Amino acid sequence: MTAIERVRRARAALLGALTASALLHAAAAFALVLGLAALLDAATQASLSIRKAVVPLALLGATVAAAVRLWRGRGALGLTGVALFIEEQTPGLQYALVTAVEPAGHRDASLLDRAVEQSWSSAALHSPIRRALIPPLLVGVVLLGALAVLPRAALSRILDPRAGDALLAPRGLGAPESRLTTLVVVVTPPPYARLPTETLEEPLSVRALVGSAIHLRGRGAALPAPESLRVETPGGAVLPAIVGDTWSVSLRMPEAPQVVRLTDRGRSRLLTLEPVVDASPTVVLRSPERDTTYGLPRGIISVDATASDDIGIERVWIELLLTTGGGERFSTTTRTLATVSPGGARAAAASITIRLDTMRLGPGDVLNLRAVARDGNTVSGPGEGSSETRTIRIHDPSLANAIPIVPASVAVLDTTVLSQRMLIIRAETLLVRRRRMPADSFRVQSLRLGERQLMLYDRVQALILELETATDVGFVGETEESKLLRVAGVAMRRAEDELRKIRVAEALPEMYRALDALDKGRTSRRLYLRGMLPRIVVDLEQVRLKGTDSASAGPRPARLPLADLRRALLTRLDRIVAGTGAAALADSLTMLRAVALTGAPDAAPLLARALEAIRGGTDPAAALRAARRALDRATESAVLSPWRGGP
Amino acid sequence: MRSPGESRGGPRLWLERIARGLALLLLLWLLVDVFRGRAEPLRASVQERDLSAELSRWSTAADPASVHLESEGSIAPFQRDWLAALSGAGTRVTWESRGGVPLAIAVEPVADPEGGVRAWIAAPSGTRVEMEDPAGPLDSLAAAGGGARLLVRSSPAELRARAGGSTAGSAVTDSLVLGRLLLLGRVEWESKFVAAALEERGWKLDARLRLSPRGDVRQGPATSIDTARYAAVLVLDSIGNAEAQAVGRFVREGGGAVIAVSAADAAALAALSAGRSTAALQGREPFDSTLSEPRRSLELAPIAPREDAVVLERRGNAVAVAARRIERGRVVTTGYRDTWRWRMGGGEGSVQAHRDWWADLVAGVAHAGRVTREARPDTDEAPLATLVDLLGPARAPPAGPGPGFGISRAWLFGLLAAALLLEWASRRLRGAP
Amino acid sequence: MKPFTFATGIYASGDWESGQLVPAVVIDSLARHTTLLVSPGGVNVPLDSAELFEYPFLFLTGHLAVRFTAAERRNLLRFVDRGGFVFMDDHNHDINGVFHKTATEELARLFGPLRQVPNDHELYRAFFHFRDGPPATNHEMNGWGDNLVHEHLLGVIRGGRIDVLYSSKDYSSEWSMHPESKRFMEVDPSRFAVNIVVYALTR
Repeated sequence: MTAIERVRRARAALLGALTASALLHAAAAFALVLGLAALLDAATQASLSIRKAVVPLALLGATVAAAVRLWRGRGALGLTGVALFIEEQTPGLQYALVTAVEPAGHRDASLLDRAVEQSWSSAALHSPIRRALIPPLLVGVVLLGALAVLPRAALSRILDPRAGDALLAPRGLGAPESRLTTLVVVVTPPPYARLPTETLEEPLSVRALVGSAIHLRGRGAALPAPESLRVETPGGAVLPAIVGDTWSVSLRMPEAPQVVRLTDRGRSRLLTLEPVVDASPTVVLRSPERDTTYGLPRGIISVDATASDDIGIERVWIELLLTTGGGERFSTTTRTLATVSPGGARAAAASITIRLDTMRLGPGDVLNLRAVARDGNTVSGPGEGSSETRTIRIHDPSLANAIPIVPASVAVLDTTVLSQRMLIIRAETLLVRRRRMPADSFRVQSLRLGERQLMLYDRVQALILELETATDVGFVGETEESKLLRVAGVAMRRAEDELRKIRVAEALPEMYRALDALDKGRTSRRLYLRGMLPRIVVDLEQVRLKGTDSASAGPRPARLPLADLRRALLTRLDRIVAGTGAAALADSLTMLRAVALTGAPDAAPLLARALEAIRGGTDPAAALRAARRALDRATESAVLSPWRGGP
Repeated sequence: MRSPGESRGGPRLWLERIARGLALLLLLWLLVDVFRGRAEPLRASVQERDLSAELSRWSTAADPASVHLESEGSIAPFQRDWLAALSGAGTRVTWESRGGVPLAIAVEPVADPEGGVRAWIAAPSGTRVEMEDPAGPLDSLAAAGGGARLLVRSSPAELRARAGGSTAGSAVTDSLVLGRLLLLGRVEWESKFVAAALEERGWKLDARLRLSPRGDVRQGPATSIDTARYAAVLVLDSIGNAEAQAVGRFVREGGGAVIAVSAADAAALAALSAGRSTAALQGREPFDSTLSEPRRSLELAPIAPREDAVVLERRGNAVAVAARRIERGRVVTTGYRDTWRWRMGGGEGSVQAHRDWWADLVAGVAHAGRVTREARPDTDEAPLATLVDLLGPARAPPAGPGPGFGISRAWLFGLLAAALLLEWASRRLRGAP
Repeated sequence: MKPFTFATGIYASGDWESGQLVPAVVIDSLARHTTLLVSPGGVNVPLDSAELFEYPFLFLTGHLAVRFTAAERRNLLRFVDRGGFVFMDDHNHDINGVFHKTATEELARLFGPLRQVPNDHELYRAFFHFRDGPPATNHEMNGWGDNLVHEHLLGVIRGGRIDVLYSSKDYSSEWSMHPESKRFMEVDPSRFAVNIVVYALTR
C-alpha cells in the first residue's frame, strides 16, 4: 500500500469519526436544550408561545454544536492535514508521510513508501478517534437518560406544545393545590358556524357564539373532598364529571352575559361568559332602484340582490307578492324566485329577470318585490334579513285619465252637497217665517246664512285648487269636475252676496244652481290623485259638544319611573369601591362587568382594565375612576344666579 | 508701678475702661436675653408641612411674641385653627397672601327624585376653577360675575373646587323628603308629555286635566292643594278662579308653582306669575334637531318679567323663563309652548334633555322637607374667608424690633468680643500686663 | 298650544290612503263629545319624514302589503320610543290577507311580537265605557273578509301602556262615512275612536 493510499484511508476514518462526533454533539445540545426547557417549564409553567419556540431552539443549538465540531475538525478534509496529524501521532515517520503526499510528487516515492511502511501504525488513529467519540457519546447518553426520566407530560409540553396542555404541567411544590389552580376551557362553536374549536388556558372570560359548547376542565379530581368542587351558574349548580385526575363541566353559551362561579374548598374563581350574537344577514336590492307604475303590464324587470352575513348564509331568494282586486276585495299570492343556496358562504347574490307580460297581470294589480336571506343559525332559529321592498303597480285606466290612483274628491263633494242642501232648507224656512219674525232677527239669520255660504264657497275653491294643481303626478289644468265646481262656486258667491244684502228670495235660485252643479260634479268622471288627498274639514263649531252619548273619562294611571341601568351600575360600583376589601374587589367587579356588557357597553372595557390592574398587582384607581365617569351623567355649569334651581 | 499718665487716667486708660465696661454691659445683656428667651419675629413662607412643624415648635419651645405667615392659599383648616389658638394665647399673628385665590363653595341637594347636587362657587371673575368629587375631576368652570354654578346629576357626598393653590370643599349634609306634583291643565300633548317626563323621572303625580263636561281626566284623589301632599303645582293651561286661589295659597305657604305663560295671562294666575306674555316668537317646523340650542325650535311667548322676578333663561333678548319668590314659596313662569315637540323631534338625547329641563324647573321651586345627615368632617367651604374671620385681614408684618431687644445674639457677642479685644490690645500695646 | 291633529301615515309599499274619510269622522266625534282643541282637518305625513314627529298620533291603514323602508322603520321606532302613539287598522278585515300578515310582521320586527290587549284594559274606559272590549264592526257582523269577529285588539304594550294599537276589525271601513251622516244614527259608531285618542293624549 502506498503512503498516499494509507493517508487516504486514514482521512476517511477521521472524517467518519468527525461526522459521528458532530452528530453526537448535536444530539447532546438538542437534549440539553430540551432538558433545560422542561425544567424551566416545571418551575414557571411557561406560556404556550415560549414552549413552541423550544424545539426550534433546540434544533438550532444542535446545528450550531455540529457546525462548531465540524469546523474544528476541518483539517481532516485535506491529505496534507491528515498526514501532518499522523506525523504528530507517529514521530518516527520523520515527515516521510507529508513528503509522500505532496502534490508535486517525488521521484523517490518508493523510498518514501518503504519509510512510511516501516514506521506506520494504524493504532495511531485509535486514540484520537476515541477522544472524538466517547465524551459526546457519554454526555448524550446522560442527557437522554435524564430526558427519559422526566414525566411524559412534561416532555410532551415541550415537544408538542398545544393549547390546553396546562393540565399536563407538573404540579407545583409548596402550597397545596386546589382543583381550580389550572383551568382549561375548550370552546366548540355550533356546527352551523363551521368555526374551529378553540382552547383557552386560564381565561378570565370566554367570548363565543351563542349556543357554543363550553367545556371547563381542571385537574386534581383525586384531591381530598371531591364534593367540595362546585360550579354555579345563574341557572343553577352544574355537577362536574370526573375521569381519573381530571374534572370537567359542560356548559352552553347563553344569550346574555353570565358569570360562572367555581368554588373548591374555600377558594373560588369567576369566569365570565360573553355571548356573541349571530347577526341576521344584510340584504341589499340593487335593482330595481325605485317604485314604478306601468301603464301596461309589459316590460322586463331585472331584479338583483346581494346578501352578506357574519357567519354564513344558508339561502337567498327573491320574494314576490302579487295582489289583485280592488275596492274591499283583494287577494295575494306569494312567489319565491331565484333561490340560491351558497353553502354557508358569507356573501351571496340572487338575480332574476321578470317579464311582466308572462305574469297575467291586470290593471290595478300590485307587485311587491324584495330579496330575503336566511342564515344557518340552528341555535336560536335562522336569522332572516330582507332588503327594501319595491312596489310595481299596473295602472288602472278605468280609474283615471292616464293618472293613477285613489278617490280624492268624493268625500269632500259629498259633504259639501249635504251642507248646501242644509243651507237651502234653512233659507227656505227663513223665508217662510219672515212675516212672523222681527226684522232684526231676520237680518241676523240672513247674514249668518251668508257666512255659511261663504265657508262652503271657500271649501269648493280649495277643492278646485287641488284638482287643478296635481303637479306631482304630472297633471296641471282643468278637469271636468273642476269646471263643474267652478260653476257651483260662482253661484255660491252670488248667493252669498244676496244673503248679505238680506235678499233671501234672490239668493235661493243661486243656491239651487250651486247644488245642481255640485251634484253633477259628484257623478262626473272621477280624478284620482295619489298622494294628494284633499283635506276634509270638519265644522267644529257646528258640532262642538253636540254628542249625546254618555261617557265618563277613566282615571289616568301613574307611569312608572324609568329604570336607569347606568345609574344602578354606578351606585353598585360606588358601593363596591367604598366597601369591598381588596380580596373581593376583583370578584365584585367581574360580576359588575358582566352586567355592564349589555347595560353600559362603553363602561365594560374600563372595568376590564381595572380587573387587569388588580390581577397584575397595580393600582386600579385610574381605571375605576374612568369607569365611574363613563357611567356618570354629565355635569352642567352656568353663571352664578340668585335662583336656587332652574335650567 | 504705674506711669504718671496711667495713674492720672489718661485717654487711653479711659478708652480701656470704657471698653471693659461695655464688655461687661454686653455680657450682662446677653445673660438677661438668654434667661428671658425673647421671641424672634418669624417670617415664614409656608407650605403645609412646614407650617405644621413650626406650629409645633412655636407651641412648645419657642413661644414667639409674633409670627407672620406668607400664605399661598393652601393652609389646612387645622393649621388655621392652630394659628387662631396661638393668637388667642398672646402671640401676635399676621399673614399675607402670596398667590392664593379667594374661593368659596356651597352645595345643596337638588329637589329631584333622581338626586343630584347643585354647587355655588364664588371666585374672582375669569378664574378657572376645577371641580372634583371623591372619584376625581368633574368639570372645569370659568368664573364670571363673581363665580359659577354647577349641577352634578349624580349625588356625590362632597364636592371640591380648586383654583390656583386654593381648595374649597363642601359636603351635602341634608337629605330631602319630596312630596307629589299636581298637574293642572287640559288634555293635550303638552300635559301628556310633561306628565310622562316627570313620572319617568320618579316624581309621583296627581293630575286634573279638562276634557269634557261629562268628566275630566284625573289622577289621584281630589284633595286640597297643600304642602303636606304636594311639592309643586304645574299649571299648563288656564284654570278656574277657585283653583287659582288655592294655588296662590299653596305658594304663599311654601309650595312651588310652574306656570306656563298661556295660563299665566289669565287674571286668576296673573298675580302669581313671574310675568306676562308678549308677542309670540315663532319656532321652527318641523323641529330642527341640529340646533345647538334645541329650544330655539319651540314657539316662545316671551315674558315681560315683573320687577321682582329673576330671569332664568333667555332667547336672545327675549325672556323665556322667569322666576320669583312669593312669601315662602316660589313660582317659575315659562314662555315656551309645546315643549313636547322637543322630546319628539329633537336629536339624540332629546328625551332625556326634555326630562332634565322640566325636572330642573320643578326642582327650582319644589317644596321639600329636609333631614340632616351626619356631616362629614374635612370640609372647608371658604378657606380664605375663614382665615380672615379668625386672624383678621391680611397685613404686613409689624415694623421694627418686636418685644425683644431687636439685636441678635450674634451681634451682641460680636460687640462683646470686639470690646474685650480692644481693651486687651490697648493694654498690651502700652506694655501693661 | 297646538291642537290635536289626526295624522295619517304615508308609507311607500301599499295603499296608505284607503281610509280617507276616517280623519273627518274621528275629528267630528272628538268635537262632539269633548272640549279637546282639535284641528278641523287631518294631515297626511310620510313615515320617513321629520314632520312625523310633529304629530304624536299616527293612523295607518290599507289593504295591500306593508313593507316599510329602512327610513320608515327607523322613524317609526324612534316615534314610538319617544312617546308617539300608532293606531293601525286592517282595512281588509282578513287575518289571512296580505295587509295583516305583512303589517304584523313589520311591527313584530320593530317592537317584538304583538300581544292581545285584555278586554278590561283601561283603553276601554278611557272615555266611553266598552264593557266587552273593542266594539264590533259591520264588516265583522256581515261576514266580510275572514268572516271572524275578532274579540281582541293587538298591541305593543310596554309597562302596561299601549304604544301601538293594531286592529283586525276594519274600523277604517266602519268609520268611512260622512260625518254629517252620523246625525241619522242612534249611536255614534266612531265613539271608540274618542277612547283611542283620549288614551293616546293622556297615557
